[in-house]
Amino acid sequence: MGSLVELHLRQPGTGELRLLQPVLAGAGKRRVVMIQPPHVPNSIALAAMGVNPSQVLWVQPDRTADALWAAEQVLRNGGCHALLFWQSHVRSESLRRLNLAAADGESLFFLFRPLAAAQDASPAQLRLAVHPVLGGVDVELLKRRGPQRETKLFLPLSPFFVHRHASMDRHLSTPAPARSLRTHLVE
Amino acid sequence: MAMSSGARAAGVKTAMRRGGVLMLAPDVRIHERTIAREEAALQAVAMAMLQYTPQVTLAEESTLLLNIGASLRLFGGIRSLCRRVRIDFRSLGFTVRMSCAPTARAAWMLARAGSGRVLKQRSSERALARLPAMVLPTARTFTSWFDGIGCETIGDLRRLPRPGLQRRCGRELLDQLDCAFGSAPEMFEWVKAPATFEAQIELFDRIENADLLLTGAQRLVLQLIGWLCAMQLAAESVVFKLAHERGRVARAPTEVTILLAEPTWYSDHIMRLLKERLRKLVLDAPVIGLALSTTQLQPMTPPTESLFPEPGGTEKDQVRMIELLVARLGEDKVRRVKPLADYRPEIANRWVPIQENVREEAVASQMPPNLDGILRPTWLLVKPIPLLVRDHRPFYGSPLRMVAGPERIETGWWGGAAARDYWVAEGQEHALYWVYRERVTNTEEEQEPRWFLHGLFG
Repeated sequence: MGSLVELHLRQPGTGELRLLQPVLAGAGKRRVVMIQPPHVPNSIALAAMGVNPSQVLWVQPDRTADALWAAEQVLRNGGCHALLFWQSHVRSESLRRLNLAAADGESLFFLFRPLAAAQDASPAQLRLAVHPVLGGVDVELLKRRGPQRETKLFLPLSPFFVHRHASMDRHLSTPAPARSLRTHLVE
Repeated sequence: MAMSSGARAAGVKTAMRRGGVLMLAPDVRIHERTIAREEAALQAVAMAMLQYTPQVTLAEESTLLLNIGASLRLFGGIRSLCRRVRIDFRSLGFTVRMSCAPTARAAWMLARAGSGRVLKQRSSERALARLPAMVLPTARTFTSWFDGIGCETIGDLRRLPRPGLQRRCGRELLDQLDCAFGSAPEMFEWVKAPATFEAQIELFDRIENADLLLTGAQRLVLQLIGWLCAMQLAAESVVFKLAHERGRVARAPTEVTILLAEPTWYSDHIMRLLKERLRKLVLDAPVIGLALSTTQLQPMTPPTESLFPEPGGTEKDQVRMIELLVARLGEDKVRRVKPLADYRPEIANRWVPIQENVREEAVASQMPPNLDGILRPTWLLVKPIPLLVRDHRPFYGSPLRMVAGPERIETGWWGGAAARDYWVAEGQEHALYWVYRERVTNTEEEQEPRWFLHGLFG
């Protein structure tokens, strides 16, 4: 059941956690572990997503070796609902080890890497590249079991900004002088 | 005289002189035999064996007798028990010859003569009959007489007429034979565990690297486990003291305390935590001795098992995993949430080390009551980044367009005043940002309000 899912993003803040929201909300009483996230996780946002913030463990080691070790320990223990691991450069042996550890246990394992690493080989069964678009994200399936899918998959994500589809006469509070009207009209 | 296998391979033989030994193997180390140290070692080993049975006694000639009749079922049979004892001895740093027999004297004799495992009385009698008669210490004084009458084995000894043997050799020899063959009862004084536990060892060399202390620590921990089992207690915290050199460069011993969330009496978890702690420890001075003591003790409680095992291990396994992470990474690197009811997002989102006790009701009470209307980013920046302003628009990689807001947060007048208008902004690449504009309250200077990036919608 446990296996490695890789997500490639250009930068953090493109909807990656909101994409995983249904998975994380199903944690129940089990813990969700985040190792070396790019920024501080916001407890109110996690609660709004349906994750109990008391169940979240934030592990922030200083060194990469410690981070990999911590990830392996969490996967070997197997009692957590999900492990979210951020790492820009991972060697392939470390990836293989983590994949093996994940296969033995029952935890879900999500590895976040930069978009540039999408070219590298990886033992993950499922690799996604996440691009933000209007209203949600475009998910490109780089690798999956079964036939390759060329087209991207659009997934709408909350928060929905419905009023964006309304007329653009509504200017928001920035004191915009007349010249900036022509920019950003309708996507 | 005792020698290691390396020395024997070099050709050292018993009753050689010191000079001869050094000529054969120049880098051999010769130690004088100290009876006091041997006795201390025997006591230490007896303490470690208390975890298998409460009935342990010291017999003659450095032999330990353990009555394991009642322990066989708990430890899974005679073979696995013997295997565990052998592994423990290897960790303690001693070589051992083990034997089992239905009576204590028979087991003693089998161990002195070699090894042997006999389980029934009849096979014990057969095995004993084959042993040389000199195995019994009381028979050794009469060696020449037994040689003269052609009595070589214990079996021969048994066949000799009893009244004659008693007159010639004394009552003791007959008593020992009777005990060995099960005709007479045996009484022992069992080793008693002391009231408080303290153990120490002296290391052979001056150790500079903390990792090498692990084997010595293993020995002390095994003794601790034996003592805990004998007293039916579980340890909550364990203190290792690393003793440094005495004399002119004397210094106070370094203390390494290991705190356990749950009291335990098993050695592997303590050893794992100790390994991680020693890996991080940097020694100021070389260590020559180790001491172990424990202060916080609680009575042993059996593990409370639920009827259906939870998928993915029990809560205790989780606690152990967290302890292991804390031991290696440090206390403040593993964090849990302890929010504060404050309008300022950076104050409300408070993370504390996992060791702090945080009740779930306390967390729930500090969260906003209605989460539906609140729009918060999943990532908060540690420090808000000031944004450039171009064309009266904040700029972060691309001009940002306001999509939702404003949300006014004005609070903290008692300290850390914040007057901010928050917006959700979208960049040209459609990533969502949480930005705020500082409300300029001081209107002395005419300046543009500053924009900051505070969060990312992940």
